[in-house]
Amino acid sequence: MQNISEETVRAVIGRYGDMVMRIAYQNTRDRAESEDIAQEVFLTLFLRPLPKSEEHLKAWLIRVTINKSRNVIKSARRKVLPLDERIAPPSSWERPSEAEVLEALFALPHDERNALYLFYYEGYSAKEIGKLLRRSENAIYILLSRARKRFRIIWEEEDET
Amino acid sequence: MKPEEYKKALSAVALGEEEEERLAAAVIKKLEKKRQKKRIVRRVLVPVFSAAVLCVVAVPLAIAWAPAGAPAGSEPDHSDPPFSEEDPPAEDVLPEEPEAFSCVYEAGGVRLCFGFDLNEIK
Repeated sequence: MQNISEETVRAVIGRYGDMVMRIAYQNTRDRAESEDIAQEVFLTLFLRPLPKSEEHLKAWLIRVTINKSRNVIKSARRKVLPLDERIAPPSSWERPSEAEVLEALFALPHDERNALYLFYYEGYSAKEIGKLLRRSENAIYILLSRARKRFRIIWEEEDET
Repeated sequence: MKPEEYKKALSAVALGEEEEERLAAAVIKKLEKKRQKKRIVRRVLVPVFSAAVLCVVAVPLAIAWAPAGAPAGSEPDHSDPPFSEEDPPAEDVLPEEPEAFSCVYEAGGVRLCFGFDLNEIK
């Protein structure tokens, strides 16, 4: 186990904490669980030799967060909360439309959600997303295309309502 | 929906300053706990287990290698035969009967026969 200073821990969490939190939240839809997942991810990171480059570190964090989120979702001990509590909006939201976007996002399957996030938010290419999610580039293009269609349909449905 | 709206919505999902500090403190605390556990294992448990293993292995070995004691009832024979620089006679030349020797010592089931009187040695 390497000796990591508190400054390094704070620096890494400051830089990537939000990203890990977002990935965990859009998979689990539960803020408290997302914080737990973030804690586990960073603990796992600091118990092993740190990746040598920023790119590798970021890719590692994304992969591990997605995997841990999946484990939590599969876990039988997952609490069953009323729907309103699970997608309760964070207090920092400014406009109700942000809550609507997230609600539409949560209606998508996990893989499509993750692919959308990595493509539009983190700016990864389909090839890079394929490496992260262990899928082919074509599979990622298909995921993105489906996600956009579904998102548009859900968004338009919500607009109508 | 535009990608900008999507990004804006997701940007709202973030750790606040307090939450970030709480997360960092929790991770640091857990790391320190793991380090302490490792220290205890290295400084206390490893020497204790090593000593226990040594005892388990070394004691029987020491018992096995200890010199065998003399049989009960016989006294130790302190009369050491003199060291002779002459070549010992060949076995086929040695007479077999002890009566042929001038000096015969016997102790503990061992008989030493000499062709000279040990008392003559000064």
